[in-house]
Amino acid sequence: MLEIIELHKRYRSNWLTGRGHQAVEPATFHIAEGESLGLVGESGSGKSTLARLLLKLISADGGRILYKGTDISGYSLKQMRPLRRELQIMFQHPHSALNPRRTLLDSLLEPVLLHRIMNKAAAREKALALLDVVGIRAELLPRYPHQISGGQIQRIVIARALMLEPKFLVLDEPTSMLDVSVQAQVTQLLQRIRKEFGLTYLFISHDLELVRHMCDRIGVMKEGRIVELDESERIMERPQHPYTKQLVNAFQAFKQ
Amino acid sequence: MSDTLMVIKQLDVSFQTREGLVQAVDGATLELKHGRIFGLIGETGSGKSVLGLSLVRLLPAHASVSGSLLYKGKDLLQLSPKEMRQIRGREIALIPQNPASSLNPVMTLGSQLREAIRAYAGRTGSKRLNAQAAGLLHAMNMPDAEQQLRRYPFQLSGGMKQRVLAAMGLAGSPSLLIADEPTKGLDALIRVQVTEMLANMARRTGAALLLITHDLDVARVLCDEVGVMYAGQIIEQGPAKELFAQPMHPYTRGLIASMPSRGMIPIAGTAPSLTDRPAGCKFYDRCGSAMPRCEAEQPDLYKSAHTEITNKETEPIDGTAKGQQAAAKHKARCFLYA
Ligand SMILES: Nc1ncnc2c1ncn2[C@@H]1O[C@H](COP(=O)(O)OP(=O)(O)OP(=O)(O)O)[C@@H](O)[C@H]1O
Ligand SMILES: Nc1ncnc2c1ncn2[C@@H]1O[C@H](COP(=O)(O)OP(=O)(O)OP(=O)(O)O)[C@@H](O)[C@H]1O
Ligand code: SF4
Ligand SMILES: [Mg+2]
Ligand SMILES: [Mg+2]
Repeated sequence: MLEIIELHKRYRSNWLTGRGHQAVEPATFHIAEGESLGLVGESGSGKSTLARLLLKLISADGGRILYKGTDISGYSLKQMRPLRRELQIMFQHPHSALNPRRTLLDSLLEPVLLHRIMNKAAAREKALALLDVVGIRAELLPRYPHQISGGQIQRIVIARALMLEPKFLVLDEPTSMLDVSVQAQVTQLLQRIRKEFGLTYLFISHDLELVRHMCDRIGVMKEGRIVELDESERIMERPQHPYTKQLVNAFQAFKQ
Repeated sequence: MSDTLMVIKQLDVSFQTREGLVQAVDGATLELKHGRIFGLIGETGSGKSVLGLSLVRLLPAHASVSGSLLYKGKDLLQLSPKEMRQIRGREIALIPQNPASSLNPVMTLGSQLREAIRAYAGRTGSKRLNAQAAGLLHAMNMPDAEQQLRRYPFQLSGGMKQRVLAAMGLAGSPSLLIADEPTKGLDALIRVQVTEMLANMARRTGAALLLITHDLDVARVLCDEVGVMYAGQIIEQGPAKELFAQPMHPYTRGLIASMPSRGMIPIAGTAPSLTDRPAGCKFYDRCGSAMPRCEAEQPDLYKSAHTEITNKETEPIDGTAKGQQAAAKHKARCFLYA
């Protein structure tokens, strides 16, 4: 579904921050249709940057992105517009994903109304159905983001991404603010949706056990590089790269 | 000298909203002790952050708070805003849950950290301030600490922002630190480091730590005592190891079974509305062990049967009140133990 060839990015330096920063070294990999690819690794290693690059939310310094065989690297904003709906991202910090001055209901409806997919009544109905799925009570809808808990925000953001019925979804730490029971519910939900609608995921998380549950393959990043990419079981049971070994060990250390 | 730093008694917090009164915290009672780590875990939206914020009196104006927060013998709820400002940050610090809205987007990390340090340490030379700020980031294992001081929050990754918040919380060497999800968004290696740092802080400086977390492994490894929250109430409380090894409350048991390492089996259903909470047990409509009385009657906190047994067993050997006290602590708000 997605083929990434030598994609890379350097954040420019400015007068204040001094030197620039190579956030993503040339990366080459693919994501198969219907697959769930996990991305784990060092904090600050470029996972979120890579995700934004392949959705063309930020511009790459070089490399190519093939979406369903078509090279979209050079697409203009206008050419991207019809694809925007299919390629969705759930950002890492849900608080910043919602407009603090809009009610949750408005935030939920905004994308579908913007894309003129359905009228307000139908959108409302769909939103209510999705809220049920993510386990949020409709009574929260007139509230503003600061009036609900972190986990409630995260579930609203998930529902909002699903409103558009995307084909490819980047999930950047989608459950980091949820309790483990709601996390398990949301994960089941995400898995079900993936199977039902044939969705493809890029799933970023620091919880290796969770990634193993969710993903067929896992890529491990360190300092802008994908140092290892393999089947989930292999990464967890027989990691090859020294950094992967360190990471897996540190994660398992808490299990005892 | 007693080792108790703060006693929270019958804390209630509610918010008046358009849909009615939201009872966010209901009768929370707990003790925070010098050098001890109290973990608060539980359902999202159950009132953990609101409880944490109420200890530093940082709740919005439409919140109504009752009960008592005895800190070194003074009730924080009775202090004037000015007196509270003297304590906040300096003596009681908070690492807030949400880095995105807690960092100022138009200020460099350096100025934010310097401001935090200045607030507690008073006037100091700018060279020293800078060195201290870099030192704090360095202690958090931030790469290129000096460089980072000149950057803005948007230039940081999620986990880096998280560490900046932790650094700011530690800036004043507080005697009580409330850390709201300090390890979320950190990779496994840094998670270990931040966890160790918090533990060291408590053990070495004797500070008390209230750790709010969804990371049950961290809670088990790091905490001395753990409270489990559900729908505004602490529904189970006890020594960390025992609570995870022998959870009492059906909610706690369900929570543990939902961990990825335990097979990720979620608890069916959703939490009750906080504007219209059930009269009896708040977990009633999701509980597999529910009995008729659970629907209408509100359970108290009952001691675990297991605790009684260990109590008797350890008494002859240990013989001290301390052994009993430690063992007697495990309790749950559930009629199964009435
Ligand atoms: N807008 C920006 N300008 C400059 N540097 C940036 C910008 N955004 C990110 N960076 C830097 O690029 C690097 C990669 O950041 P990124 O957010 O992709 O990391 P990440 O792997 O998602 O980390 P985390 O797990 O902590 O979320 C970091 O060093 C970060 O400081
Ligand atoms: N300012 C507010 N006005 C009205 N309701 C609020 C306000 N702040 C919080 N609440 C409600 O109080 C309840 C408790 O929120 P709190 O943030 O303490 O939950 P939490 O246990 O920290 O959850 P999470 O684990 O998701 O962070 C939630 O149901 C939330 O919607
Ligand atoms: S009091 Fe009753 S309903 Fe509540 S947790 Fe215990 S058994 Fe279940
Ligand atoms: Mg990230
Ligand atoms: Mg919270």
